[in-house]
Amino acid sequence: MFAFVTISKIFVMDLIMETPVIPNVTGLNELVYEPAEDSFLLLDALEQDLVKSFEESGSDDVLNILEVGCGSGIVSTALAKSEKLLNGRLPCVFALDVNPNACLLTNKTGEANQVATSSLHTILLDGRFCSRNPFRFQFDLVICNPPYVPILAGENTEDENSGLLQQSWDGGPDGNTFIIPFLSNVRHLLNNNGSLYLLLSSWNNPEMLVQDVANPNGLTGVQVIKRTAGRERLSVWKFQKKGLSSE
Amino acid sequence: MKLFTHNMLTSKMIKNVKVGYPLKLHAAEVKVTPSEFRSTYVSRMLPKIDWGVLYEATQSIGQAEAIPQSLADDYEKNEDFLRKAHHALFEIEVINGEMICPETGRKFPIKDGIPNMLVNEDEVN
Repeated sequence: MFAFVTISKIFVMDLIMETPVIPNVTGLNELVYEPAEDSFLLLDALEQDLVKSFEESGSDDVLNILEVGCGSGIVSTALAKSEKLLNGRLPCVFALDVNPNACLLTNKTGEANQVATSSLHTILLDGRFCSRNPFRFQFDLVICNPPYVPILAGENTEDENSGLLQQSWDGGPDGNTFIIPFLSNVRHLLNNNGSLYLLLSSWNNPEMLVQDVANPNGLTGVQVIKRTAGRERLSVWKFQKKGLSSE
Repeated sequence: MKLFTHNMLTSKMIKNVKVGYPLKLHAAEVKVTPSEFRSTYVSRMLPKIDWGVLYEATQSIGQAEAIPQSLADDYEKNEDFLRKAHHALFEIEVINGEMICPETGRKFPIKDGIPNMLVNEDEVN
């Protein structure tokens, strides 16, 4: 009886995904998107959903994960350390960002959180083009917190660094300038059982994206989690290839 | 950039490129950083690795002695081999250099250990 209680306690503790610490690197942090409500909602969604998705996984293959737009590296780092959520599968994370400062900070965040260097690989690559898949293989998981904020044309920033920072959140006039082409092509990045976790805001009209963009491109989409943050309603959606997923 | 990353990347997002693999590798600065060896991880990773490409990469950056030319048949049980594979894949890093598309000659610089795969809109399919 006593032993049973102890074991279940350990089990519950093991399921908690640690929130990585972002190190202070002089001259770097202010040039990179700082983790905010959207980043934390994405972490919560992954913590909840990965356990469910992998509890019956019979495979012990390495789990190939891609984060598009890694920013500070908070999500990539959490995933690189998430093996306890993955029922024995070992994560191998590729972290992409169009901002070289974000790539450098992601490497530092990995180090600061004792990520095995073999589990986290950073590449300077524009998310707009990565959905044509520059990799030799496809992924089990693709994670993306896209630039989703609607910004009127002409609201440009003055120098290169703040321009790169703006690219991390500027979603163009309707907020969907990045999201629609990415979602239209992301199937090339996913293997047959693969899933995309995409953060969206009410501004992006998620239901429209599922019906008019994901479905015609062979993907199903379901909401995993939602939360109100100030004026916006944030949600995380899971997309999978049609007819092949178990859900 | 670890040689593992080089083993996984192609230039096939560029217009008219058919395979885009392997990318030629040139190194101006190489660093070797010891890192935690996890035999299970390396062993599960090896089926995904193109060993010939990894071997060529070690040759092209002055790390000729790092690994044998062929993949060991018994690698799952061969710790000595797995340690060498770990070293080549995850400990040897190109800090500065470039990768070159085998079909178009397009160069992808490597700076501060990070491969730069940025392309312009008019270069992609």
